[in-house]
Amino acid sequence: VRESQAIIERIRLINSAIQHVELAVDPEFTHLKPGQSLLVRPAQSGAATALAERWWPVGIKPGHRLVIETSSAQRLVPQQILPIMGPIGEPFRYHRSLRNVLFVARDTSPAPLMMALTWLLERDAQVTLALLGAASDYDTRHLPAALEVIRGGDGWDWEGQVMSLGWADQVFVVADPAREGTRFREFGRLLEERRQGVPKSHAFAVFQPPLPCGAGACQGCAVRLKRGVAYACTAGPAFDITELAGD
Amino acid sequence: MSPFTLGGKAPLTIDPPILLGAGSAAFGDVYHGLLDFRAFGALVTAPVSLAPRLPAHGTHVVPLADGFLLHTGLPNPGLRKVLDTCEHLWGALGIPVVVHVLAGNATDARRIAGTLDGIVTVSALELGLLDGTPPAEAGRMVAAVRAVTDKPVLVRLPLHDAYTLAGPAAEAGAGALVVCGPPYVSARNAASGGFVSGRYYGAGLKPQILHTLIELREQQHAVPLIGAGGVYSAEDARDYLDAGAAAVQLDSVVWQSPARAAAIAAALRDEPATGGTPARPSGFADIEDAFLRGGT
Repeated sequence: VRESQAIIERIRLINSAIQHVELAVDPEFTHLKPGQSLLVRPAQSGAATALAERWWPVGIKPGHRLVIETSSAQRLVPQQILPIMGPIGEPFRYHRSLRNVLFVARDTSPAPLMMALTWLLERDAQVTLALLGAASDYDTRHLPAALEVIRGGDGWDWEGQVMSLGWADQVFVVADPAREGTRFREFGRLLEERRQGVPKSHAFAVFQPPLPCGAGACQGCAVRLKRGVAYACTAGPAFDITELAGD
Repeated sequence: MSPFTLGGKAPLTIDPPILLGAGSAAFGDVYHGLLDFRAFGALVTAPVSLAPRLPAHGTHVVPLADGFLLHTGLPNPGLRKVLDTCEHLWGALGIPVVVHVLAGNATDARRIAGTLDGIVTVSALELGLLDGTPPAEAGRMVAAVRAVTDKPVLVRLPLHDAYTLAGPAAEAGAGALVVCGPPYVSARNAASGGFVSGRYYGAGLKPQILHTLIELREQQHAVPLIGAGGVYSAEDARDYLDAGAAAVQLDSVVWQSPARAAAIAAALRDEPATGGTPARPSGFADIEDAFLRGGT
């Protein structure tokens, strides 16, 4: 993890809900892998002591530029200089022979999954994105046509669930940060029922809590695992769902 | 800026008088390559309890307008494990290490302090007192720690009980009073719709800490004061020093920007030492005069 600054080079409105922000960054930051993120302070000095925002890259462009997906409601301007810290977290771990991947977003933006999703599609993996609850409002028309998108209702149900869960070599899930502990345990139980057991390194819960430090110091992102305690900012964001401790 | 010396049988000089406050750099095992520990006068570790503690269930961080609420349950692997993993690391940091003692009673405090007394890489102890600690119990806890170690003992006061606990802590042998621990506040929990309580970190703390420092200085407890909380700039730290603090602890500014924390330490280190009793804070006399004149 290191501190630096980024300059907003370009802001592109993707649809009414999201925008893509191109950040010029130090070369080291362009080595970010799917799963890793940045802590950014886009606010002006009045809120200098407020928490940093977590920005998830969705792509890397030539010229040391990262593409970030943020809400279109966020007021940013080209040439704005932003303090940044990163990379936050560890890259997602994939099976070596990965062919079919399921991404699930419930009641939150799928932005933490986007870089992985694009990366896998470019490597000819079959990728499905299930958007559940409030996440079903996410407009996917800017995403590659090869991506299969499924929209579900307010719970964990979606059409063809038995097939998509059974077919996936790996699963990555994001949920509303305010409820993610509960939601990930629910999803773990669902997987157990549908698959008659979940092997290790098959399903990953992707945590995205607010991060005061991003370096494992503040203990604010502690995740209880069966083998002990880990921090989402340093050992995460993805944890094997079979390793999460119960209630 | 003058170094700060904690007296006693094993005096400890803290130079510059800017410390990494409890938990700001965990146990000294984080921020390597990102933070130059030698820029600071000392490291105060994250709280260490006798037995391991697990993290709290539920919401851990609630963003607030000028800071955040942090509810962690003060997880730590327990004294023995912390020493196993950190004892040698502390010796390599290049600055004094102060272990923050988390104990609910005098017996546990004594056992932790007794163990730490034999650890050469530990330079001092900081005993954290919680809100609601009865003054007599606070005195017993400090005395219990002092009875088993010659290392200097800092006592971190809880903000809401600082005035009532400062006296018993000082009389029981505190080497310095840390003013104060992050206060407990409550905020709406988005998950449950109810409230969640936790420690508050943010700019709103500074006026409260400043006021408490001034009041405690007036009480003349004959032990040095260390300002802690709400420091986000060199000016903030300087205000605490001008208000009577002999040193300043940094906390969430380290999490926010290690570079900014180091810049605060550097700015104060490079200032010329003033020496003697700190100046009476400007404005304080005016307020007093206003009362004397019958004004508000």
